[in-house]
Amino acid sequence: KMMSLILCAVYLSVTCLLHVQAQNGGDHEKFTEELFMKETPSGHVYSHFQFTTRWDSDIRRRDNSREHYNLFPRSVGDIVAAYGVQELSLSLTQGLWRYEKWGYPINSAPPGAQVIARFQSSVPDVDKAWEGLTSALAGLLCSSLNNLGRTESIQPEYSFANQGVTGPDSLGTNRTYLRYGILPRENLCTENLTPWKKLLPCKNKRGLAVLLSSGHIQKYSVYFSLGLDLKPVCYSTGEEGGGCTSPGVELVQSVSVVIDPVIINKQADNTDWNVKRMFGIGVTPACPLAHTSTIFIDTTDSTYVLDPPPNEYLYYGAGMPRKLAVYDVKIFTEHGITDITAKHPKSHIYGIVRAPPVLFNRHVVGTGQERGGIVATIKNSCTTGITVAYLELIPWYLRVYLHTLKIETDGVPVKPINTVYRPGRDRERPYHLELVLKLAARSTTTIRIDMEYSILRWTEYPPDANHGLYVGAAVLTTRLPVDGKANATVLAAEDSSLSHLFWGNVATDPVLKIYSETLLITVPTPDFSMPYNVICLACTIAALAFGPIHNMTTKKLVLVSPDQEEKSLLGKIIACVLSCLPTLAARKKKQEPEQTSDEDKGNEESSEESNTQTQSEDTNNS
Amino acid sequence: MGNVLLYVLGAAFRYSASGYEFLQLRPEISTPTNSWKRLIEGVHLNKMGLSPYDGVLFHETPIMLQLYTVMENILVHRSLLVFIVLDLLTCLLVSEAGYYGAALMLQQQKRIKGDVHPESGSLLHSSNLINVLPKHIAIFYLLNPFLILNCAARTTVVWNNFFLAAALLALTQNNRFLGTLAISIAAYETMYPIILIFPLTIHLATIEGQQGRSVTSSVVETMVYTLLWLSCLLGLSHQLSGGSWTFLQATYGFIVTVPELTPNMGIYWYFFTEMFEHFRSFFLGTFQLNLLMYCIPLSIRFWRSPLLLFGSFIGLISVFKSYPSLGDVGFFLSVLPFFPHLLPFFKQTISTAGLLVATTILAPVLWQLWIYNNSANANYYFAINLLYSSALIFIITDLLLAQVRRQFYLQHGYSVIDSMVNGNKMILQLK
Repeated sequence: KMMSLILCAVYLSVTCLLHVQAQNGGDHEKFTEELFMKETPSGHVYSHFQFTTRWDSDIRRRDNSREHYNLFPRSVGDIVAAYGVQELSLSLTQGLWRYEKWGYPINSAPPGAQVIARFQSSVPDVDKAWEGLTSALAGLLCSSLNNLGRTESIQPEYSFANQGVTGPDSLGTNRTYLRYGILPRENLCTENLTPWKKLLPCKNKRGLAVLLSSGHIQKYSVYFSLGLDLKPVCYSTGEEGGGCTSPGVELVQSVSVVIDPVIINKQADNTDWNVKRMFGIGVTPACPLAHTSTIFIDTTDSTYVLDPPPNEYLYYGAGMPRKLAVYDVKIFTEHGITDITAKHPKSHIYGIVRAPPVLFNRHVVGTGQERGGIVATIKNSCTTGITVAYLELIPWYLRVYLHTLKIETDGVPVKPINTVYRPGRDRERPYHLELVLKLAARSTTTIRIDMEYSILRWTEYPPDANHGLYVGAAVLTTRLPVDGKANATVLAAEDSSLSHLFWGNVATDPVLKIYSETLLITVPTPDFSMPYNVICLACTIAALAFGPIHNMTTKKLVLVSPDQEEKSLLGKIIACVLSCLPTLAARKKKQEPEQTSDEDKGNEESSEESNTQTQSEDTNNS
Repeated sequence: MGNVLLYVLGAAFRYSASGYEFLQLRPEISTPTNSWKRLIEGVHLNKMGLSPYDGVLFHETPIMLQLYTVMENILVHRSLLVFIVLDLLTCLLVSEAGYYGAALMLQQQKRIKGDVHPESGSLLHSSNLINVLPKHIAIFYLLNPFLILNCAARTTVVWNNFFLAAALLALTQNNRFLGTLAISIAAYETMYPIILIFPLTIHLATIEGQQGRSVTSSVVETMVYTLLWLSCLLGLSHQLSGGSWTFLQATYGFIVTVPELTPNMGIYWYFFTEMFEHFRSFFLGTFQLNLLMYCIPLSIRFWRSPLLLFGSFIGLISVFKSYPSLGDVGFFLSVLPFFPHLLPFFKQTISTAGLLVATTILAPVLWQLWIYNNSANANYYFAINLLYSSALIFIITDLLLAQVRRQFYLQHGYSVIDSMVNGNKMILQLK
């Protein structure tokens, strides 16, 4: 019996192993890890880690929820299945991406936390699903995403189009199932990075993820962004125009880090960098579960020399192609951990950095804590006109006046092609302003809108209320014209991996998202220590009216003799004090009879008289 | 001639003050319920096809909204002219009411002349009142800085004051039709003036009672008229807002529940900012009832002088409404000349007047210190609000107490106060 049990166990484990092997060997799940590095014209080093997991199974189908997960993180899969999520895009960011200095990133993200979710059309209550999803994501990534309730989210009409494959049924494009929310004050720290790394097949034990040591990144990075993007992809299409017959899913986990080598080197003109000093360790062997593991370094216009030299160079893009150094990590790290160094033969000269074709900035205007305005500036330096969608999500405690909206291109007022405006309601929903604008070639457009800062209930202020309240970044969505395309790296819709893009599959519909700065607004604050005093004082004022009116409507004006007089409490006290005074004075007189002259006596008497007079007057008044 | 000059002067003051556009944004003058900027925003949204009641900015009534949308050319583009003309018309109505009011008071006095103590003859109105009163009222109205600022800031209080003035005129003319209509419109606009129905009903019932009509039928008729007007106005609004009642929440709901805590000269904003969440509804109820509660006892006590009731109710509204503004107070102050006979019995004239002037000047100063210079905090501004409100309350209670005292002296004469009992002077007391 014992033998048969052991045999059974061995048999089971062997079949399991075989099954896993089959899964890995087969094309059901595919994991790719990639690192893209680029030295920006300002001398900063931009590193974009991207971990892509693709699976041909439609995990959103509830009957599949017991399916066997190999590479795809089960915790994400369960959340997606539970809330019927079609597409999800989440970012947690510390710092601001400097578009004018660094160009466009692969993955744009606003400061703070952002969630964009599109639900399947089978979801009955989108707002409820949204609240459930954000709470689940908050638990998954240890962040305060649960604060993104329905009071903080909007339904964008022109921004955030579908990222993945679209079609009928569960691949819909209906905007009513789209939600967008932003938490500008959310911080990104170790407690978010650690659970995020645990979603990877190799966790943080092997592969490029080993480079993501929180200590180094937190210490040196000027910009740090975590991303989690999920979208449906198509594995096989039906007949012509039949749509996708077997949708799969693609999860992209990305980290963008910008590090200033000058700070690491502690020398102003030394912009040399290497992987080890930036991330604490050289390139470690690839994750064994990864299909490919590649490092791309953009060496277009670079002045540095890479050591060791890359496996090969790759030219990508039409017109002015970009030159990429490619390191295949599986081959590169055959002999263990290896560092990649970039050495500049000459010290760096800081010149004027050529700004990317479309720039978007925003600031707050006005002084004081009463009212102000938001001014957004869009600079289009393309040689052709472009169409942009501008999305502004303003919290309800800033009251926006739509009639003050002014759009001017180089000083000339322009009318937006489309305007979406949903006014906010206190404690219910934020203000949603979306504009579709046509921008002329080589023009600067300013959008200005006035707002009022409301005073909140004293329990509604965030901690450190005098620091101010944040307004999340605005989003500008546009398609770059041909001459501007070279500036942006836009991933292909069908496969988000960098290799797919760099090996010749240029995105057919390069949509670019640009985020503006977060705004800090100082709203008026009450005195938080005063609730009791204020309640007492305000009630006193009400009583001030109530008392006399009550008296005069319930009593009659009559003449009374002083001994029958009804005294108020205050009157009684005053009378008591006054009645004590003459006896005290009399005692004093007795003790020092010689020193008091007749004149003094007279004075004292007269003062007593005046006292009693005031007494009677007081009582009269009362 | 002098009168015309006065009106020209009033218009000139209003016109020159309107150059200061910041007046439209002052929290003391423009509140969420009457601000010109919000009215414009509502009209703008309405023209775009969005419902202004969907947001939290607009709190005017649907009729006002439609009026401003349809007649935008006149009411918005020539708003200053409209507001000045409206304010001058209001003044005309109030001074006309002064004329009829004086006539009314003289008539009443004739009736009670027999009961007046011989010593108190000097307390009686002189027959010249009928000539003097309209002039005094015009001076008080046209040169009232509160009303000048209010008109220059283009608040919709100007409209409300116009209807209040019409109601006052109707009361002095014993006109039920106009009176109930004006009070209904004013109440429809800002809700609180509904309590003015008390003085009107009492007055009409008294007058008609003297003519031999039953008091009950008179009261019922006034009530029916008011209800009719109100339901007409609400029905019309319902139609204008496309068959929806959402405007009720945005207008009266907003006034009653005080959701917006933008500072103003009242006591509500800071009180409900600092309120403990579980007591909010209790204190809301208490504060709103506080105003309503005064109506019945005051009506019973002062039913003989409906003008005084009308004036004191306007005063109480201007202190205890949820979003009070200078325009409301200005109207109350301009009605005070109706009671010159009570002036000798005021006890705290100088101190309250001083308090009112001081707080009006100090409020913007402390606002500046709090909001712009960051060297003061909300308590400073609220302290001014409290003093300002107490000054107004003192004026109102003084006014009412003066009436009580005047009645006493008219009945008993002066010398009774000097009479001695057991060698002690007698004391006048409410008992």
